[in-house]
Amino acid sequence: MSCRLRFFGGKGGVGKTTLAAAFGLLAANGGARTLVVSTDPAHSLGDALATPLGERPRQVAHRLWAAEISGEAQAGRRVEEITRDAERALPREVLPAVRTHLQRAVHSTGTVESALLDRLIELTESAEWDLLVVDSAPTGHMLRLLTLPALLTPWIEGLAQQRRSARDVDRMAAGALGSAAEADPLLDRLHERKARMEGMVRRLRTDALVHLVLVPERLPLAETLRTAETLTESGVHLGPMIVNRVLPGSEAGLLAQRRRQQEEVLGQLDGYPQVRVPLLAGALTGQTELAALADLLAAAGLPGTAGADLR
Amino acid sequence: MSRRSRLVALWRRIEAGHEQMFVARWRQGLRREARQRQDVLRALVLLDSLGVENPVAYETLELIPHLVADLHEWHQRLGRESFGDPGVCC
Repeated sequence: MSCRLRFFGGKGGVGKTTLAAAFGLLAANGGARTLVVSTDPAHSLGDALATPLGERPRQVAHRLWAAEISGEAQAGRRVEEITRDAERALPREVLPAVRTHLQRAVHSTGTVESALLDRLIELTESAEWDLLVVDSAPTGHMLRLLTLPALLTPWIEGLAQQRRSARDVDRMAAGALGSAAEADPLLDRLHERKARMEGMVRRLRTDALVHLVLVPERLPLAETLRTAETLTESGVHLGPMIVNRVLPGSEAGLLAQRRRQQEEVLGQLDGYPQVRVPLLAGALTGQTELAALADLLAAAGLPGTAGADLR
Repeated sequence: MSRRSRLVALWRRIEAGHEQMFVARWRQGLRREARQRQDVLRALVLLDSLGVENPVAYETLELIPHLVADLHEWHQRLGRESFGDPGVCC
Protein backbone atom coordinates (compact mmCIF):
# COMPACT_ATOMS: atom_id res chain seq x y z
CA MET A 1 0.00 0.00 0.00
CA SER A 2 1.28 3.45 -0.81
CA CYS A 3 1.63 5.91 2.00
CA ARG A 4 -0.75 8.75 2.67
CA LEU A 5 0.25 12.39 2.56
CA ARG A 6 -0.65 15.23 4.89
CA PHE A 7 0.51 18.74 4.21
CA PHE A 8 0.56 21.50 6.79
CA GLY A 9 0.68 24.87 5.07
CA GLY A 10 0.07 28.49 5.86
CA LYS A 11 1.68 31.84 6.46
CA GLY A 12 5.02 31.97 8.20
CA GLY A 13 4.91 32.00 11.98
CA VAL A 14 1.44 30.51 12.49
CA GLY A 15 2.73 27.29 14.06
CA LYS A 16 2.81 24.84 11.12
CA THR A 17 5.92 23.05 12.30
CA THR A 18 4.69 22.55 15.86
CA LEU A 19 1.29 21.35 14.68
CA ALA A 20 2.81 19.02 12.08
CA ALA A 21 5.10 17.51 14.70
CA ALA A 22 2.23 17.11 17.16
CA PHE A 23 0.06 15.55 14.46
CA GLY A 24 2.88 13.16 13.55
CA LEU A 25 3.19 12.12 17.17
CA LEU A 26 -0.54 11.57 17.41
CA ALA A 27 -0.63 9.46 14.22
CA ALA A 28 2.33 7.40 15.44
CA ASN A 29 0.58 6.76 18.73
CA GLY A 30 -2.51 5.80 16.75
CA GLY A 31 -0.54 3.00 15.08
CA ALA A 32 0.66 4.52 11.79
CA ARG A 33 4.34 4.39 10.95
CA THR A 34 4.78 8.10 10.44
CA LEU A 35 7.47 10.23 8.86
CA VAL A 36 7.42 13.97 9.45
CA VAL A 37 9.49 16.03 7.02
CA SER A 38 10.11 19.73 6.84
CA THR A 39 10.64 21.30 3.42
CA ASP A 40 11.14 24.86 4.64
CA PRO A 41 14.64 26.06 3.74
CA ALA A 42 14.73 27.60 7.22
CA HIS A 43 14.13 24.33 9.07
CA SER A 44 12.74 24.36 12.58
CA LEU A 45 11.33 20.85 12.87
CA GLY A 46 14.44 19.73 14.75
CA ASP A 47 13.86 22.54 17.23
CA ALA A 48 10.22 21.55 17.71
CA LEU A 49 11.16 17.93 18.35
CA ALA A 50 14.17 19.03 20.39
CA THR A 51 16.49 16.75 18.46
CA PRO A 52 18.98 17.38 15.65
CA LEU A 53 17.67 16.25 12.24
CA GLY A 54 19.17 15.86 8.76
CA GLU A 55 18.43 14.83 5.19
CA ARG A 56 17.93 11.17 6.09
CA PRO A 57 14.90 10.16 8.16
CA ARG A 58 15.77 9.49 11.78
CA GLN A 59 13.65 7.65 14.28
CA VAL A 60 12.67 10.01 17.07
CA ALA A 61 10.00 8.01 18.89
CA HIS A 62 8.10 4.74 18.64
CA ARG A 63 6.79 4.54 15.02
CA LEU A 64 7.85 8.17 14.45
CA TRP A 65 10.61 9.35 12.09
CA ALA A 66 11.63 12.85 11.12
CA ALA A 67 13.82 14.57 8.54
CA GLU A 68 14.65 18.03 7.26
CA ILE A 69 14.93 17.69 3.49
CA SER A 70 16.33 20.16 1.01
CA GLY A 71 15.91 20.59 -2.73
CA GLU A 72 19.52 21.69 -3.22
CA ALA A 73 20.84 18.50 -1.65
CA GLN A 74 18.58 16.34 -3.83
CA ALA A 75 19.58 18.22 -7.01
CA GLY A 76 23.24 17.85 -6.06
CA ARG A 77 22.84 14.09 -5.60
CA ARG A 78 21.10 13.71 -8.95
CA VAL A 79 23.75 15.70 -10.81
CA GLU A 80 26.47 13.55 -9.26
CA GLU A 81 24.69 10.41 -10.41
CA ILE A 82 24.20 11.70 -13.96
CA THR A 83 27.82 12.87 -14.17
CA ARG A 84 29.02 9.42 -13.11
CA ASP A 85 26.89 7.75 -15.81
CA ALA A 86 28.06 10.29 -18.40
CA GLU A 87 31.70 9.68 -17.54
CA ARG A 88 31.24 6.02 -18.35
CA ALA A 89 29.27 6.48 -21.57
CA LEU A 90 30.54 9.62 -23.29
CA PRO A 91 33.76 10.74 -25.03
CA ARG A 92 36.07 12.57 -22.67
CA GLU A 93 36.15 15.83 -24.63
CA VAL A 94 32.42 16.48 -24.10
CA LEU A 95 32.47 15.99 -20.35
CA PRO A 96 33.43 19.57 -19.40
CA ALA A 97 30.52 20.89 -21.47
CA VAL A 98 28.17 18.34 -19.86
CA ARG A 99 29.28 19.48 -16.42
CA THR A 100 28.78 23.15 -17.26
CA HIS A 101 25.27 22.47 -18.51
CA LEU A 102 24.33 20.39 -15.50
CA GLN A 103 25.52 23.09 -13.11
CA ARG A 104 23.60 25.72 -15.04
CA ALA A 105 20.44 23.63 -14.88
CA VAL A 106 20.81 23.12 -11.14
CA HIS A 107 20.79 26.87 -10.60
CA SER A 108 17.77 27.37 -12.84
CA THR A 109 14.54 28.74 -11.40
CA GLY A 110 12.23 26.06 -10.17
CA THR A 111 14.93 23.45 -9.80
CA VAL A 112 14.81 23.52 -6.01
CA GLU A 113 11.05 22.95 -5.97
CA SER A 114 11.23 20.19 -8.56
CA ALA A 115 14.01 18.52 -6.62
CA LEU A 116 12.03 18.75 -3.39
CA LEU A 117 9.06 17.18 -5.09
CA ASP A 118 11.32 14.46 -6.45
CA ARG A 119 12.54 13.74 -2.94
CA LEU A 120 8.98 13.61 -1.64
CA ILE A 121 8.04 11.15 -4.39
CA GLU A 122 11.03 9.05 -3.38
CA LEU A 123 9.89 9.05 0.25
CA THR A 124 6.27 8.23 -0.57
CA GLU A 125 7.41 5.32 -2.72
CA SER A 126 9.14 3.74 0.23
CA ALA A 127 7.21 0.98 1.99
CA GLU A 128 8.66 1.99 5.34
CA TRP A 129 5.92 4.46 6.25
CA ASP A 130 2.13 4.56 6.27
CA LEU A 131 1.93 8.32 6.56
CA LEU A 132 4.07 11.19 5.39
CA VAL A 133 3.44 14.48 7.19
CA VAL A 134 4.89 17.43 5.29
CA ASP A 135 5.58 20.62 7.14
CA SER A 136 5.86 22.88 4.11
CA ALA A 137 7.39 26.28 3.71
CA PRO A 138 5.09 29.32 3.67
CA THR A 139 2.11 29.33 1.34
CA GLY A 140 3.55 30.45 -2.02
CA HIS A 141 6.16 27.75 -1.83
CA MET A 142 3.67 25.01 -0.97
CA LEU A 143 1.27 26.07 -3.71
CA ARG A 144 4.05 25.79 -6.26
CA LEU A 145 5.03 22.40 -4.92
CA LEU A 146 1.48 21.08 -5.11
CA THR A 147 0.71 22.44 -8.58
CA LEU A 148 4.10 21.66 -10.09
CA PRO A 149 3.40 18.13 -11.35
CA ALA A 150 0.31 19.22 -13.27
CA LEU A 151 2.34 22.08 -14.73
CA LEU A 152 5.37 20.05 -15.78
CA THR A 153 3.65 17.01 -17.24
CA PRO A 154 2.49 18.66 -20.49
CA TRP A 155 5.93 20.24 -20.97
CA ILE A 156 7.65 16.90 -20.68
CA GLU A 157 5.08 15.38 -23.02
CA GLY A 158 5.87 18.16 -25.51
CA LEU A 159 9.57 17.39 -25.36
CA ALA A 160 8.92 13.69 -25.89
CA GLN A 161 6.72 14.45 -28.90
CA GLN A 162 9.40 16.70 -30.38
CA ARG A 163 11.97 13.98 -30.01
CA ARG A 164 9.65 11.32 -31.42
CA SER A 165 8.77 13.32 -34.52
CA ALA A 166 12.42 14.23 -35.13
CA ARG A 167 13.29 10.55 -35.11
CA ASP A 168 10.35 9.57 -37.29
CA VAL A 169 11.27 12.12 -39.94
CA ASP A 170 14.90 11.07 -39.76
CA ARG A 171 13.99 7.42 -40.26
CA MET A 172 11.68 8.28 -43.11
CA ALA A 173 14.51 10.17 -44.82
CA ALA A 174 16.76 7.15 -44.37
CA GLY A 175 14.10 5.00 -46.01
CA ALA A 176 13.84 2.90 -42.89
CA LEU A 177 10.07 3.16 -42.75
CA GLY A 178 8.45 0.11 -41.29
CA SER A 179 11.55 -1.35 -39.73
CA ALA A 180 11.35 -1.74 -35.97
CA ALA A 181 12.28 1.44 -34.13
CA GLU A 182 15.47 1.10 -32.16
CA ALA A 183 15.49 2.08 -28.51
CA ASP A 184 16.08 5.75 -27.79
CA PRO A 185 17.56 6.46 -24.35
CA LEU A 186 16.41 10.06 -24.52
CA LEU A 187 12.81 9.16 -25.19
CA ASP A 188 12.90 6.47 -22.51
CA ARG A 189 14.08 8.97 -19.93
CA LEU A 190 11.44 11.51 -20.91
CA HIS A 191 8.75 8.86 -20.59
CA GLU A 192 10.09 7.82 -17.22
CA ARG A 193 10.02 11.37 -15.85
CA LYS A 194 6.53 11.87 -17.24
CA ALA A 195 5.20 8.69 -15.66
CA ARG A 196 6.70 9.75 -12.34
CA MET A 197 5.06 13.16 -12.52
CA GLU A 198 1.70 11.72 -13.54
CA GLY A 199 1.90 9.32 -10.62
CA MET A 200 2.46 12.25 -8.28
CA VAL A 201 -0.46 14.21 -9.74
CA ARG A 202 -2.67 11.18 -9.07
CA ARG A 203 -1.30 10.79 -5.56
CA LEU A 204 -1.82 14.45 -4.73
CA ARG A 205 -5.44 14.18 -5.89
CA THR A 206 -6.28 10.94 -4.14
CA ASP A 207 -3.97 10.34 -1.19
CA ALA A 208 -3.13 13.83 -0.01
CA LEU A 209 -4.93 16.12 2.37
CA VAL A 210 -3.87 19.70 3.05
CA HIS A 211 -4.43 21.38 6.41
CA LEU A 212 -4.17 25.14 6.21
CA VAL A 213 -2.95 26.60 9.47
CA LEU A 214 -3.73 30.15 10.54
CA VAL A 215 -3.98 32.34 13.59
CA PRO A 216 -7.18 34.33 14.09
CA GLU A 217 -5.90 37.58 12.59
CA ARG A 218 -6.81 39.38 9.40
CA LEU A 219 -3.70 38.89 7.22
CA PRO A 220 -3.41 35.13 7.70
CA LEU A 221 -7.17 34.87 7.10
CA ALA A 222 -6.98 36.58 3.71
CA GLU A 223 -4.07 34.40 2.61
CA THR A 224 -5.74 31.24 3.86
CA LEU A 225 -8.98 31.90 1.99
CA ARG A 226 -7.05 32.57 -1.25
CA THR A 227 -4.98 29.44 -0.83
CA ALA A 228 -8.04 27.32 -0.11
CA GLU A 229 -9.58 28.46 -3.36
CA THR A 230 -6.45 27.82 -5.44
CA LEU A 231 -5.93 24.36 -3.97
CA THR A 232 -9.53 23.34 -4.53
CA GLU A 233 -9.27 24.51 -8.14
CA SER A 234 -6.17 22.42 -8.70
CA GLY A 235 -7.94 19.32 -7.41
CA VAL A 236 -6.14 18.92 -4.10
CA HIS A 237 -8.35 17.97 -1.13
CA LEU A 238 -8.55 20.31 1.81
CA GLY A 239 -8.70 18.91 5.32
CA PRO A 240 -10.08 20.92 8.22
CA MET A 241 -8.26 24.20 8.69
CA ILE A 242 -6.45 24.59 11.96
CA VAL A 243 -6.97 27.87 13.77
CA ASN A 244 -4.09 28.19 16.16
CA ARG A 245 -3.70 30.38 19.25
CA VAL A 246 -7.36 31.14 19.81
CA LEU A 247 -7.76 33.40 22.85
CA PRO A 248 -9.91 31.72 25.48
CA GLY A 249 -12.18 33.18 28.12
CA SER A 250 -13.48 36.68 28.50
CA GLU A 251 -10.90 39.27 29.37
CA ALA A 252 -11.03 42.99 29.81
CA GLY A 253 -8.91 45.74 28.26
CA LEU A 254 -6.48 45.03 25.44
CA LEU A 255 -7.21 41.32 25.30
CA ALA A 256 -10.93 41.99 25.06
CA GLN A 257 -10.23 44.13 22.01
CA ARG A 258 -8.12 41.39 20.46
CA ARG A 259 -10.91 38.96 21.15
CA ARG A 260 -13.36 41.12 19.22
CA GLN A 261 -11.02 41.15 16.22
CA GLN A 262 -10.64 37.42 16.56
CA GLU A 263 -14.41 36.88 16.56
CA GLU A 264 -14.60 38.85 13.34
CA VAL A 265 -12.01 36.62 11.68
CA LEU A 266 -13.52 33.41 13.01
CA GLY A 267 -16.89 34.55 11.73
CA GLN A 268 -15.52 34.64 8.20
CA LEU A 269 -14.26 31.09 8.54
CA ASP A 270 -17.68 29.75 9.46
CA GLY A 271 -18.28 27.89 6.21
CA TYR A 272 -15.09 25.83 6.43
CA PRO A 273 -14.46 22.67 8.41
CA GLN A 274 -11.98 23.64 11.08
CA VAL A 275 -10.28 22.70 14.27
CA ARG A 276 -9.43 25.30 16.92
CA VAL A 277 -6.38 25.19 19.11
CA PRO A 278 -6.28 27.55 22.09
CA LEU A 279 -3.38 29.84 22.84
CA LEU A 280 -1.07 27.84 25.03
CA ALA A 281 1.41 29.02 27.59
CA GLY A 282 5.04 28.04 27.24
CA ALA A 283 7.26 27.03 24.32
CA LEU A 284 6.00 23.88 22.65
CA THR A 285 9.20 21.99 22.07
CA GLY A 286 10.10 18.44 22.89
CA GLN A 287 7.91 15.40 22.79
CA THR A 288 6.24 15.74 26.17
CA GLU A 289 5.01 19.25 25.36
CA LEU A 290 4.00 18.20 21.86
CA ALA A 291 2.04 15.27 23.30
CA ALA A 292 -0.16 17.79 25.15
CA LEU A 293 -0.83 19.58 21.86
CA ALA A 294 -1.46 16.24 20.16
CA ASP A 295 -4.12 15.46 22.77
CA LEU A 296 -5.77 18.79 22.01
CA LEU A 297 -5.82 17.97 18.28
CA ALA A 298 -7.34 14.58 18.96
CA ALA A 299 -9.92 16.09 21.31
CA ALA A 300 -10.80 18.68 18.66
CA GLY A 301 -11.53 15.80 16.29
CA LEU A 302 -8.81 16.24 13.66
CA PRO A 303 -9.36 13.27 11.31
CA GLY A 304 -6.71 10.73 10.62
CA THR A 305 -5.26 10.51 14.03
CA ALA A 306 -6.08 6.83 14.30
CA GLY A 307 -3.91 4.64 12.05
CA ALA A 308 -6.83 3.19 10.13
CA ASP A 309 -8.61 6.34 9.06
CA LEU A 310 -6.04 8.56 7.45
CA ARG A 311 -8.53 10.31 5.22
CA MET B 1 21.28 -3.36 -78.75
CA SER B 2 17.94 -5.05 -78.63
CA ARG B 3 14.79 -3.12 -78.44
CA ARG B 4 14.09 -4.60 -75.04
CA SER B 5 17.41 -3.60 -73.49
CA ARG B 6 17.00 -0.12 -74.94
CA LEU B 7 13.65 0.15 -73.21
CA VAL B 8 15.15 -1.11 -69.95
CA ALA B 9 17.97 1.45 -70.18
CA LEU B 10 15.46 4.21 -70.84
CA TRP B 11 13.40 3.10 -67.88
CA ARG B 12 16.50 3.20 -65.70
CA ARG B 13 17.37 6.69 -66.88
CA ILE B 14 13.90 7.97 -66.17
CA GLU B 15 13.99 6.32 -62.77
CA ALA B 16 17.38 7.90 -61.95
CA GLY B 17 16.13 11.28 -63.13
CA HIS B 18 13.06 10.95 -61.00
CA GLU B 19 15.18 9.95 -58.06
CA GLN B 20 17.41 12.96 -58.57
CA MET B 21 14.62 15.41 -59.17
CA PHE B 22 12.14 14.34 -56.57
CA VAL B 23 13.20 11.64 -54.16
CA ALA B 24 16.62 13.09 -53.36
CA ARG B 25 15.12 16.52 -52.93
CA TRP B 26 12.33 15.09 -50.79
CA ARG B 27 14.85 13.19 -48.69
CA GLN B 28 16.97 16.29 -48.30
CA GLY B 29 13.93 18.20 -47.15
CA LEU B 30 13.10 15.49 -44.65
CA ARG B 31 16.65 15.46 -43.32
CA ARG B 32 16.51 19.20 -42.93
CA GLU B 33 13.25 18.94 -41.07
CA ALA B 34 14.59 16.24 -38.78
CA ARG B 35 17.64 18.36 -38.05
CA GLN B 36 15.44 21.35 -37.29
CA ARG B 37 13.33 19.35 -34.90
CA GLN B 38 16.43 18.10 -33.09
CA ASP B 39 17.70 21.66 -32.85
CA VAL B 40 14.43 22.84 -31.33
CA LEU B 41 14.59 20.04 -28.79
CA ARG B 42 18.18 20.86 -27.95
CA ALA B 43 17.34 24.53 -27.55
CA LEU B 44 14.38 23.66 -25.29
CA VAL B 45 16.48 21.51 -22.99
CA LEU B 46 19.51 23.78 -22.98
CA LEU B 47 17.44 26.97 -22.57
CA ASP B 48 19.71 28.17 -19.81
CA SER B 49 22.66 28.48 -22.14
CA LEU B 50 20.57 30.82 -24.25
CA GLY B 51 19.95 32.93 -21.17
CA VAL B 52 16.31 31.90 -20.84
CA GLU B 53 14.95 30.54 -17.58
CA ASN B 54 14.10 26.90 -17.86
CA PRO B 55 11.18 25.82 -15.68
CA VAL B 56 11.79 22.13 -16.23
CA ALA B 57 15.57 22.13 -15.94
CA TYR B 58 15.50 19.58 -13.14
CA GLU B 59 13.26 17.15 -15.02
CA THR B 60 15.49 17.15 -18.08
CA LEU B 61 18.87 16.92 -16.33
CA GLU B 62 19.34 13.39 -17.62
CA LEU B 63 18.95 14.50 -21.24
CA ILE B 64 21.85 16.94 -21.11
CA PRO B 65 24.69 14.43 -21.54
CA HIS B 66 22.93 12.87 -24.56
CA LEU B 67 22.20 16.18 -26.25
CA VAL B 68 25.72 17.49 -25.75
CA ALA B 69 27.07 14.19 -27.09
CA ASP B 70 24.74 14.45 -30.13
CA LEU B 71 25.95 17.97 -30.78
CA HIS B 72 29.55 16.86 -30.46
CA GLU B 73 29.06 14.06 -32.96
CA TRP B 74 27.32 16.46 -35.32
CA HIS B 75 30.02 19.15 -35.32
CA GLN B 76 32.69 16.51 -35.76
CA ARG B 77 30.81 15.01 -38.68
CA LEU B 78 30.78 18.47 -40.22
CA GLY B 79 34.54 18.47 -39.86
CA ARG B 80 34.89 20.96 -37.05
CA GLU B 81 37.12 19.84 -34.23
CA SER B 82 35.67 22.27 -31.75
CA PHE B 83 32.30 23.95 -31.61
CA GLY B 84 32.48 27.74 -31.27
CA ASP B 85 30.30 28.86 -28.42
CA PRO B 86 32.17 28.18 -25.19
CA GLY B 87 30.23 25.97 -22.85
CA VAL B 88 27.87 24.49 -25.43
CA CYS B 89 30.34 21.87 -26.54
CA CYS B 90 34.07 21.44 -26.75
